[in-house]
Amino acid sequence: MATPLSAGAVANSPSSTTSPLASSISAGDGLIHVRVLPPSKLTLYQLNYKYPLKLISPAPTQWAKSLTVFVLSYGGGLVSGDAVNLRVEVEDRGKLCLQTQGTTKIFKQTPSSPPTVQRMTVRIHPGASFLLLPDPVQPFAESNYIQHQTFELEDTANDTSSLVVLDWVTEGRAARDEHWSLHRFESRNEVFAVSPNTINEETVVNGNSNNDNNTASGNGSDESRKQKKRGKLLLRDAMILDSRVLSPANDGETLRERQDGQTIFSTLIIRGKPFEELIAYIKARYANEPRIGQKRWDTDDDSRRHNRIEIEARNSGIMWAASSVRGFLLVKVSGVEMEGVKRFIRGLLGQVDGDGVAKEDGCIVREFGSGMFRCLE
Amino acid sequence: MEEGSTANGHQPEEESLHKEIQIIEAQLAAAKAKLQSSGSSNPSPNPPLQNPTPSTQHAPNPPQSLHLWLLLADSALPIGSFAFSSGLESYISHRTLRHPLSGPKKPTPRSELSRFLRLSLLSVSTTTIPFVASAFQTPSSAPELDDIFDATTTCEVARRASVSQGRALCSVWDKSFVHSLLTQINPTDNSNSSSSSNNIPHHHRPDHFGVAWGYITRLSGADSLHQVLFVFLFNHVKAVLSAAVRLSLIGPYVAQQILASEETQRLVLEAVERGKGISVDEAGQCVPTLDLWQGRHEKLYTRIFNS
Repeated sequence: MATPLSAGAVANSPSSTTSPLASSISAGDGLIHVRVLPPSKLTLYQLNYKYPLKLISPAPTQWAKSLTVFVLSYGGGLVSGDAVNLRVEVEDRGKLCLQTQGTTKIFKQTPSSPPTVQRMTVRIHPGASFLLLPDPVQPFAESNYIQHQTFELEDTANDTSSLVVLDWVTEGRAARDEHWSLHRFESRNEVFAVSPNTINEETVVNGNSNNDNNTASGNGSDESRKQKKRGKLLLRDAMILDSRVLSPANDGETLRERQDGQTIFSTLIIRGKPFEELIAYIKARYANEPRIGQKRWDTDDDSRRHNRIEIEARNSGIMWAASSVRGFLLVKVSGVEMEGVKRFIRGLLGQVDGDGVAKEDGCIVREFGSGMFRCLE
Repeated sequence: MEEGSTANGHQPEEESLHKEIQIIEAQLAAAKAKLQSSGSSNPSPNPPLQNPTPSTQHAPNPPQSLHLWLLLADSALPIGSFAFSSGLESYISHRTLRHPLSGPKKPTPRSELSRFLRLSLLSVSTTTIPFVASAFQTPSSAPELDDIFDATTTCEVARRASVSQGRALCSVWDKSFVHSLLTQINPTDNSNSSSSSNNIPHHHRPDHFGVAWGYITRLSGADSLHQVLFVFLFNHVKAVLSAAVRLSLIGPYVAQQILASEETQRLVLEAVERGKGISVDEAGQCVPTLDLWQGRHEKLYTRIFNS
């Protein structure tokens, strides 16, 4: 790994006025602020973090089209009671890709401790672009995890605030015979349209972790007031896996059985001008998806010859669906084995052709450069 | 009618008294309805039989309430529910492909249907029911709820099904129910629940089925959240079973058998309770495969349903 920027090097200078975090950073908090300095130099204006969160940014090469920050947790996972609260801001023409190094392991919840929580709020200015391509979350047996990611788009009229978000979860440690043996897993992705002039107020609201806690348990009116402040809710994708929601005694079906043999569930959320071509590509792929007919769809269908990637997807048990919803493309992919799902998603994001060869100047490579798909390799 | 002929004279006497009360109550209700339809806006001066305390909101007017629920639980209600299988059609297609005939425990069509019903009720209870409840409790926020539900329902096929039925329900309300239900029941509503029901915006028409259901039942003067949710979920079960019959998974007798079963009743009640305890902001999909099946419905080579 390249040398990380020293934490807080910039933020500690008295000139930083936009960050209350710099002075009052608490455990698990983090701040990433991307700014473009004239003429067009991408810089990490701020990079702050505190245990158990760790942020590492490899020094960008001179020609880098984007900045990459690795979001890490010490010891490779999060234990119960850990609360990560990351705030990200990407300014005009800024391009930031967040990645991880290996799955986010969620350890078993210990008695009387609260669930593991990860919150992330990302503010995307007009003309800014954000990629979130982490490795999957891997909830261990008896873990209890809440992930809440909020994306605030400042320009939805012309769609120049753009994002690609991948959020995925696996069944646990299959080698230890963990198959959806978790207690509870909740993942919430929300996208808001916000107006740029609320920026300072927003930073204050979100920088204060007490305030955030209030909202989580707060009453409805608080929530709706916050909603108004936040702007208009454009999209909410929420998945809740709860092993206790149906009692097995009554229905004889555990969470594992309910998942129908699928071991990975992933969601892709894509929006914005720079990714229009990618969106069109995925839509076309879905439109050409083999029809499910009377015959076995995974062996033959004489209506059309299928290309390599389609056959490969079927052989690895991929089940996917794409929806155009309120200006977004939302893709759901599930599968039975990790490698197949990775290859499939890499194929979608890399805009591969029928033989599985990635497009040389696909959207993401063109906008962000190479090396964005580490989690998919 | 053989009262009095039994040896024990006490019980029959009580029974006949009960019957008399029932008849008088029915007459009273009929008289009240007459009075209301004749234009008098004031609640009728109560005869001695009626409990004169203002807590009438806890004692719904049975004939009116029954009338309302028979209307809303009618399978002939023209909202087009018969066109949707809520993912059942796609589920069955995917499952038969997944489990080749040589499986260790070959699922029967009926067991597949029961399983789907269970998953579907679970999913509806955590995604839609919070919105039904919220629209019923605070009808003034129906426009915002409708928008949030629209943002939350990320499966394109499910969105189409929800909007289609929601708009149809509102049309039925506008074209058929509004004259009788709104005017007939709202006066009594106003008298007991202070000004809250006066503030219901009558003009808004939600798009989504769940929100529309909560909102319209509130406008119709339904007074029990439990009933509002129960009938919504029961209608859902009926729609799924009806789809199952048309998919030839089960016959009509078995469909009624499942509908009448204790298990179905328990599942619906559990779904009501579960959904009631979830706020709109906590709602979410808890059967992720259902979104995939439903989303892939449009990929079926042949299909007879819209969802």
